[in-house]
Amino acid sequence: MKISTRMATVGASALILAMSSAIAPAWGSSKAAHKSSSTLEFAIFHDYSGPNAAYGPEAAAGCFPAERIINAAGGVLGHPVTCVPTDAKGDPADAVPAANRLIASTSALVGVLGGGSDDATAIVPLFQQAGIPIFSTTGEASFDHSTASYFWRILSPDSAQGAAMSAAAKKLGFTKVATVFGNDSSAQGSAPAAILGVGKIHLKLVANQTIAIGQLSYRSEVQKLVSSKPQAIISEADPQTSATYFSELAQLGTVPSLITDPVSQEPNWRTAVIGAIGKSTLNSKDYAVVAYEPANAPAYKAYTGALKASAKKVPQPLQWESDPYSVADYDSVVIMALAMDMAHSSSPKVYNRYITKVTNPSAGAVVVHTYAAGKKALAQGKHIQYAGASGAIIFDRWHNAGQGFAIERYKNGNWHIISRLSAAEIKAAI
Amino acid sequence: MSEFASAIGFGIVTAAILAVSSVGFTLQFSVTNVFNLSYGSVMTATGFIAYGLNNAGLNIWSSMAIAALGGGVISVLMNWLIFSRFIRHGLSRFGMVIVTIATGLICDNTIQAVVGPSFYSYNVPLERVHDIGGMLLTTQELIVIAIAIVLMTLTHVGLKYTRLGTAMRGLSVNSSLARASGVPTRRVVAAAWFASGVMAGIGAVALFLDTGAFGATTGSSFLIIVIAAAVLGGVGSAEGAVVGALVVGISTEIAAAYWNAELKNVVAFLILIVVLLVRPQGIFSQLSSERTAVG
Repeated sequence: MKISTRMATVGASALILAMSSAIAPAWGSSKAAHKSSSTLEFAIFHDYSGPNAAYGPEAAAGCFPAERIINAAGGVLGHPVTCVPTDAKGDPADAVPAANRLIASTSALVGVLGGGSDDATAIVPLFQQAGIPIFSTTGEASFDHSTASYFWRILSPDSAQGAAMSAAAKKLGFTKVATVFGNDSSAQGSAPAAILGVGKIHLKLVANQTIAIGQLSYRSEVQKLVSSKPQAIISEADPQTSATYFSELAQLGTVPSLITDPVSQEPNWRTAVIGAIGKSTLNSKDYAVVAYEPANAPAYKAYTGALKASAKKVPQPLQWESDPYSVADYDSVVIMALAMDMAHSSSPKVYNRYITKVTNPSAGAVVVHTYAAGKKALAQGKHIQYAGASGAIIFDRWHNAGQGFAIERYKNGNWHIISRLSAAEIKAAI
Repeated sequence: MSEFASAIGFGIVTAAILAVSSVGFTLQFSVTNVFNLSYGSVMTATGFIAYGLNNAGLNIWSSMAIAALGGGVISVLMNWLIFSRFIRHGLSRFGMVIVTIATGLICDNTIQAVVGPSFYSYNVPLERVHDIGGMLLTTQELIVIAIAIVLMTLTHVGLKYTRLGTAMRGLSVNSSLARASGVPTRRVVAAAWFASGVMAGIGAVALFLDTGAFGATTGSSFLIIVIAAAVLGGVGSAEGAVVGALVVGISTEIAAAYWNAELKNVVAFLILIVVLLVRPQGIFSQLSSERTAVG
């Protein structure tokens, strides 16, 4: 049967009207439903591939426990939260397009855990431009006086870390030390301060080595170090480099005391070096100089409890228990959630300026250690100061917090604080 | 003087590890004309095979031998399943390089998905050094040097005095003429891939013993220095790869001992550039530039 043009037009119009009628309510209702039940996303923007592929799981070990305790307390402003792992791919050339894709792909993104020393300089400006808070683990000195209002850093910068390592050498009674740092950006963040600090506190620097990372052998370097007879080595290098260097040091028969930084508390580093020199040698020689975290604090207990309960999302969760980066990432997510509660808004551009209001001390503020306690106090109209698993987190005007330092040793399956470094001791090394 | 002797000794150990890997790389290229940038991934895979065997209780040297055979099989399969198909379709040399890069990336990421981002170590006792004429070497290192010497000798003898070796050399010079002369090309090519994979396996275990710990990307991260040694000596020349490995190994250790440890690789690559400027084909290579890929 021939269908006239007019009939076809009428039929098509009727069809379109019918379809619109069916879709419109669904659109409206789904949009409304989206608004009331939409999940807020925290991106874990770290390396999940390449040589630093452990950074992603490390950050996830902070994010997922936070996700758990926030959702257990009813979420943020009625919204559940979720952590979204996103591979930063290990170098700035890949991290930049990945960050742009992340920003463009979702309107539910409210905060980011990201920006390691390998890519922070490249990606922080992107999240700054997008108006999304990014809590970074980079220690680079270039961020010590950052003007990026959406950049936040809980852990101490590398410059303070380096000074703390030299102060620790003095506190431990060493008078002749050597410094061995990898030539990558992460290790070189601490190196200048450590070397300067050794001189400032009048220790004898018997050898100062900057080693090319990822080499097949460091035998010549190791022999030069051994001939200088240091009592202790202040060191930071990636797991592979450290394993090769220390294994060749052990072969020459002498592993002096090691003064290391939080990198040495990462499971990957310990696995690599233990494989190279043995657990008993490492545990008996290593002193880790790390941000002071009171292990018996309520916040830390809340973190470890949530971490253990997150085993489905965080494989082998206990390996991250003492990892300062995981702990800092946990605090980061809780802080962002509390800031949203205080701001009564999940919009990053609104709640960003409330971050210091929930962390820095203020008159009459109630000190809270968990998200639930903080949410409850805010609901009662109180001001709060969140003191997290990393301890008190007080941001300066460049959005850097930093804490005191402690010297820890690994014994009986756990890290134990053997000494704290006072502000005066660290200041003497700066 | 003893520092110099030590540096030479250390350089020889490095050279031994590099030589095995570089000869495997260059041997396969000389026969097939495929610049295989997935070679590092084969090293990693075989290193993990050895890890599995060693972890199950086998001593490291037996694990190395079995893993090396596994490396041979992996290499043959890679060529049969992937590379030869592209070669038969007439893909350009540059295109083949891209295919090998892609294959390597797939392998590396697959290995990482299986083993995770952690680091692993072989179950070997920690050894002390022996002072041999001023050179400080462990028993393990002496064994690696011995393995390298035996392997290089066998390679040289095999290439020069066996029918298979003669066929390989014929293919490397002129594949069309070799084919026309009745050389069973496919079998010879398969043998080249197998030999390359075996040497990748031995080189990998020696390398991972040396570094103390290894991960999913360790083999690929050392590929550039393996290729540098092969190119320096002349790609396609087994003897050249040995000389290249010695130059790279010793120069890096001398640079670290007497100059700046941070710049040890700079010295090695500067030497590479100077040699290639003077002799672009490398020290020993006599390969024709008009060769095509053989699958």
